[in-house]
Formats: sequence, C-alpha cells, structure tokens
Amino acid sequence: MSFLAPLLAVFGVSVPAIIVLYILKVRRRDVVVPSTLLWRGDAVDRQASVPWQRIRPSWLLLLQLLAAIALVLALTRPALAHPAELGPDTVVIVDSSGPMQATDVSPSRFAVAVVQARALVDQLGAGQRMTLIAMDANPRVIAASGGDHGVLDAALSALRPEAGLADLRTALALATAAPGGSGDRRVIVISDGVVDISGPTVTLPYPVEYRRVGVSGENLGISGITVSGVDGARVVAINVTNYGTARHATTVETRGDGHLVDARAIDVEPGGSVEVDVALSGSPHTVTADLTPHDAFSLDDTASAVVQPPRVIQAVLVTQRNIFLQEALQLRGDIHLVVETPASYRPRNDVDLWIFDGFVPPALPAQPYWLVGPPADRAIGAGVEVRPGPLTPASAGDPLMEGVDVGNVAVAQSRDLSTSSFGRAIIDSQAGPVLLIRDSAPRAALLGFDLHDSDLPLSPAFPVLVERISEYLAPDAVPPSPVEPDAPVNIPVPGGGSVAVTHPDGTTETLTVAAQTGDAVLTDTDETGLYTATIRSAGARQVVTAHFAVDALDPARSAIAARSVLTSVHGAAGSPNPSAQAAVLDDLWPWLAVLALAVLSAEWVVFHRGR
Amino acid sequence: MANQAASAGIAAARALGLTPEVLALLDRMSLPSRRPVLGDAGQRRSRRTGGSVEFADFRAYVPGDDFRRVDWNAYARHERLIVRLHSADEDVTLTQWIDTSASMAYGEPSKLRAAASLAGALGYVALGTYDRACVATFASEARMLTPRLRGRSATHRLWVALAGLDGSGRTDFSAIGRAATRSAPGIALVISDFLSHPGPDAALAALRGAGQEPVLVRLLSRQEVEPDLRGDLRLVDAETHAAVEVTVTPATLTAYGRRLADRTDALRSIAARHRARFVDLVSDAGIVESVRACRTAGIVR
Repeated sequence: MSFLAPLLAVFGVSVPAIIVLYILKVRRRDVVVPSTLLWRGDAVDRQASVPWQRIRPSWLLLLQLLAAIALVLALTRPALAHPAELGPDTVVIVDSSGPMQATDVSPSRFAVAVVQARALVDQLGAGQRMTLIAMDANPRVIAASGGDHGVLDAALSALRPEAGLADLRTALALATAAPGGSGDRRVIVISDGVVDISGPTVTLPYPVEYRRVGVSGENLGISGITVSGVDGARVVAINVTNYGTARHATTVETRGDGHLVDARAIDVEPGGSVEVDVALSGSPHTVTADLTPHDAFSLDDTASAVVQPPRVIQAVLVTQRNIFLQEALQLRGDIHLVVETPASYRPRNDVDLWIFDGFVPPALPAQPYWLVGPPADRAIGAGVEVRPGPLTPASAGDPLMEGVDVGNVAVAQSRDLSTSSFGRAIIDSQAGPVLLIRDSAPRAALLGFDLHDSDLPLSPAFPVLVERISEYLAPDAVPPSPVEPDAPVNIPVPGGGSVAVTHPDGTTETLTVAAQTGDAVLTDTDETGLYTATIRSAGARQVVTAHFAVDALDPARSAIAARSVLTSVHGAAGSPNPSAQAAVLDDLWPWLAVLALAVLSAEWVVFHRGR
Repeated sequence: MANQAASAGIAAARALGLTPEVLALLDRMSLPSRRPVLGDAGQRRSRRTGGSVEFADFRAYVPGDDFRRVDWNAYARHERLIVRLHSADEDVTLTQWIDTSASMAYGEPSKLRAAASLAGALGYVALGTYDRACVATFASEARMLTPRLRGRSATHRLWVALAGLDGSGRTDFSAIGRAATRSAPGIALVISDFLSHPGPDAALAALRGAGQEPVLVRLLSRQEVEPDLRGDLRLVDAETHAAVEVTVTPATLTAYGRRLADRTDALRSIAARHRARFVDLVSDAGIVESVRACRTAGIVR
C-alpha cells in the first residue's frame, strides 16, 4: 500500500486532540439550585481542583476516534497497487484460429477469449488506446488503435473463429506495426498457445503478455484420409490420432456419398494412431469419415475425401520423330498421347495439351502447348543458334525444378531466347535461358534446343522435368487430395473461363480467373467439408464439375493442449513472455470516506440516544 | 392602634395572595380532629377530660396546669397537688412549622411565599372557627413566630408575621423535634421542600410524642419538578454550597425525575409510618388549589 498524500497525515493530530478533549475537564456554568440532593446521581466529576480527568470508556469517544482515523487515512489517500491491465497503448491479439473452437472451457476457448478481450475493452479509460488483432491463419487488424468502446465491442462481436492455425508471427508483426506505437505499448495475446511460430525467435520492443485460454489437451482426431484403388476395389484409409495423454475410444463411421458404409469402434493409445481401412462398394464420388461421439475439438472429428475418377489428359505430340519425348510423356499413366507429324497437324478443341517438337504451327492453339526445339521464329522470340554451356535453374526453389538436376546436362546448341518475351525463365545458361514458361492462359512452355542436341533425355532429370512441365501445363482441375482450411486453392482454367465454387454450407461463390496466370484462386476455404467447383473453360467442349475436400488434418492444429508459454517470442527486456506489468493504484479514500460517514452516523445516533 | 394593625394585616393578606374571594372560600372551612386532642376547654367536645363541669378524673399536678383546677380538698387530705379533670369541649391548636431554609427562597413564586400563603390561609380557617393557631419557623433552629393565637381578630397578626418571612440557613428537622415539646398539642403542619438529609423522620416522632397530629406538606417549585437545565453545569447547593458537576441531557432529566419520584415515595412512607397526612404541592399552583389539596387530604374540611 502506498499513500498519495502522506503530508496530510498531519491531520492525525486530531486523534490525540479528541482524547485530550475527553481528558480535559469541561468548563461548566455555575447554577445555584435549592438542593443538589436529587442531582448527585448524575454527577460526572467531583474533582474541581484538577484541570484533567480520568478518561472513561465511552462509545462516543470510540466512534469519534474511529471516524477521525478513517478521515485522516482518507486524506492521505492510501492506494493499493496492482498490476495494470492496460497501458496507454495496448494491442490485444485475440486468437480466432481453429484450436480455439475447442470446448474444454465453456462455452469455447474462442468465446472465453472474446469475453476476456471485452473485459479489457471495458477497462479502457480516457487517453488509452487499443488495437484489436484477430489471429488465425491470416491475422488482421479488426479495430485500429482507438478508444471507442463501441467500435472495439463491435469488432469483437463480429469476430468469428476460423479453422486455420494461428499465425502468431504475422500477428506480432501487425502488433508492432499498428499505428500509434509508443514506448508504452503493451501486447496482450489471448490464446491457447497452439500457434504457428515456426522460424526464428520473434523479438518485440514491447512487453508481451500471454493469457492462456484452455485447460485440456485431450483430443482424438482424423489425421489422414486417402482413397486408393480403382473402381470396384477402392479402399479409404482413415488415420485416427490420439493427441491427448489418455487412452480414448471412438467409433469411426464411414459414409460414401452420404450413405453409411462402415462403423468401426477403435481404441487409440495416447500419442498413437490407428488406421482404419474401409473398402468402398460401388463407385461413390465422395467419402466422409466421422468420429462419434465428437470430443471437445470437433473440427478434426470429420474428414472428407473425393474419389477421383481416372483422369485422362488428351495430349498430341507433333513431331517428325522424338522417341525420348514420346517415351517420357507416356510414363504418365493419365496421358493419352497421340503422335502426329507436322504435316498432319490440324487445330482442334478436344486436346488438353499440345507438344510441338521442332515445329511451330502457323497459329498457336488455345490449349496449353509446349514448344520443343522450335525453329527460329520471330513471333515466339526464338533467335539464332547459340551455345548455352552449363545449365542452371533460373530461380532457386521453383517447384517446377524441384528434384530436377540439370547441372551435368550438356547442350550442343540452342535457340537464343534471351530476347524472347515468351515467359519466365526456368532453366538458364550462360547464353541465356533455354526453358521458358508462360503462366498466362493458355499456359505454354518453350524449350530452346532440340533434345537430340543434348544429353538431357539421357539424364534422370528428363522424365521428371517432362512430368512437371506437363502437369503444370495440364494440371488437375481441383486438388486431388484434401487441403487444409484457410489454404488457398488454385483452380486452373488454362484456356480462361469462369469458375463457380459451392461451399459445404451450400453457398456459391464465383471466382475470377486471372488472365495472367489462368488460375482462379479460392481463398475462403475456412469451412471444412466438400467443395464443388464448376469450371467453364473458354472454348472447352463441356462444363467440368470437380469436387475437392478441405479437411483439418494438420497435427499441429489438432494438438490442442494449451501451451503454458509462447515459445520463440521475446518481449521487452529480452524476457520471454514477460508478465511484468505496469502498476496501477486503486484509491481507497472513497471507501474510507464512506466508513467515516457511517461511523459518524453511528456516533450521532449514540449521542442522541444518550441525551 | 387597632386600625393600624388591621391595615397592616390587610396588606399582608394581599401580599400573601389572600384576596377577599379566597377568604370567602376559607370562611366555609374548618379544621377537623380525627381523634381526641389534649387541650383546654373550648368549643370542641373532647373525649379527654378538661375544665368543664362534667367531672372525669384526677391526675397529679404538673407545672403549667391551671391553678383553678387544683383540688384543694384533695391537697388537704393527701398534701399532694391534684387537679380535677372534666370532659369538655376543647380548642384545636394548629401549629404550622414553616421551613425557612435558603432552599425555600427558590421558585417562581418562591416556595417560601407559597408556604406563607398556605399557612396564612389555614391559620385563617383555624382562627375563624375559634381554634388556636400559631406559626413556627425552622431552618437550622426553630423559632416560634407567633404565640398561640385565638379568634379571628388575631389573623392580622398572623398574616403580618407570615408576610415578613425570609429564607436562609440549612434545613434541620431536628430543630422541630427539639421544639415540639414546647408546642401545644394539636395539629402540627410541617411545610417544607424536604430536600435535605436527614429527613423528617425524627421530627415526626417527636411531634407525635408531643401529642400532635403531624401533617407533611411538601412544597416544590415548578423548576424542581420540571428542571429547565441543559448542558454542562456546576450545580451549587443553595444551603450547603456543595457543588455537583452534571451534564444535563434528556437521560439525565429522566433519571432526575425518577429520583424525585423515589423521594416522594420515601416521604409518603415516612408519613404513613407516623400516621401523618402527606400533601404534595407545587409553588405555582396558587392558594386556592393548594387549599383544595389540603381539603382533599383532610387537613381542612
């Protein structure tokens, strides 16, 4: 306890003063009466010769002393220090990620977090600012720095839990970059600690307080669902993982196109997994696995998969003869390859992928195509012959070059593509790029040299490169395997067109196909379940309808045990997750004033009862 | 000379509040006698022997007996003075003992004035019915203010004596006891505020022993019955000058009233113990109300 006005303790002299008043004799007025016989019972003091008297127990004295003490204490303004909830500038990060949907605390972690955030808003005083950040897979500021309780409350009311994993790093970056930054900023993270904080330690110049929400880590979830086999002999493999510390039993119900196929009771050891293989009868389009009953975290209790029909890519290889290319393309089981000569070439729409070897058609097709070793052609930027020398990937980390080693590949001669505007370089050389990729619709690739002028077809990288390029040029319409919630889904429409996606809740969203990439990107994949994409390709023969699943299969999300600390986060002064808070003082003088008033009231009652 | 005395008496009566209307009321009253009284021959028939012609008994002579009632024949035979007693009507002597201590000077009107007025009224009744009356005062000492008076013509003297009373000194009821033996038998009216210690117990015993029928008239002022004091006071006793410091509050006044009631009860008990009547008066009650209270108590009828 501290005193805000200690000097006013001088009024404490009132306490001994009251006592002195009780000790000092009262100056009494002399009144002559006929007789004092009847007054002697009320005599208060008969020692007239001394100026003081013995203090006697008195309720009045006690109450007056109590009131004086209370008033003097109130004047000195005693205050209790306690950690400050809020500073002048507070950033509150509310975890709205998937694990916050766990109901191990009632009604849910997310609801509790919102309540805590709302309590902080309620404490926001004059001159204090608060920034609210929603933390899920895509952290965002939901209320910029301000002190308007209505705005902050409305932002919290509008906040909904997402399914993705919380991106703490981005949330902290937003907290740092939030406007109104000052040295007094404090960051409060209301979360269960189940966050994505991979990478180096995040150091903030502000104190960071972590308020944990959640008590239990028990969770049984589906960690994988895979459909394999062919029609009539398909099998769905469902992996159930126990993320908790106790053994749990559940029943795995498997449905094909909504009809129950199998129900199997299983026990899963702590930290262990059980694979349930269910043979699918008939030819269902989708399969759904469900753990019953649902536990505290139901997001991973259901998973879906699409039973993909065998895909056939109609590809035409136009070449005089290129056995290397023909063989490499035919390694892909889903490609139906037709080999034609340049003389017999005729444009048509029933082709998914054209490969022109040593030939450039007069009019490039509307479908994806790959030009291999073209003749000099001004239209595509293929220039004179050059000696490329050693080959290198044009950019590190390009998915197309993943696992493709072209370091030892020798190329005798290649077309000069250095001035070509065909596309971006994939494989580079001293004489310029030798492989270009065009991302805009229709997708296309340009290999600058004849395969016969190189030992590339003989290297192990060749079939891989062919498969990567052909996959890129003629990709799957939708992801063949489940994607994680909040992960963007690219729906390629190589020839351009339109895409409409129906969400699991029945709502339909029309996507825009980017002209440059030829992709429609679905970003709203927060809801788990089956999505349906209706693709209308420009110039295509028919409308393609494809299904894909969004499942919460990520073990990082399902391991919902609330973390005691936020690892890899350092707040001010280098201490991780500092809990040190500025102190605020609770003034106690109003309470003391009320006490003094009550005591004085009691003293008044006692005084008038005694009169 | 007689006219001067009459004028002084009339003035004294006015000073005592004995207006013609009051006197007219008193003219219809007389003194009662509850039991035979020792006295000389008068208008009342006594069951005691007296100086009438109806012989009753003999008894030895004692100083003060009328020589005319000595039976000289018996003296001749026995050489002893023996008086003859006869059954006779006797006068009643009303002796009024008035407390003239300093405390009686208080009140509005003063208790002493109220006492004097009452004594003048009762004396008027006694003298008007051919009884005898005398007034004595007492404080530290007792003093006979008048001799035994008889006849209505003596009322002026009585009133003049009463009008000149002044209060001083301390109340001492033992003074009555000492003087009681010298007073004539009859009714002894003790008028006092009885605010002293010791009380009148011994005095009443002495009066009773002297053949008197005692009557206690307690006279208090309104200020004593309902004190109007407040606050922190140092009360000084008018007689003893002893000081008592009090803080007068409603509670204090309540306790005072309780002690006054206890004191009144104690006086009633003392009176009952000595077969005396007790009358409680307040000085501002007025002479008419005071006389009526005395009539209610049987002092006059």
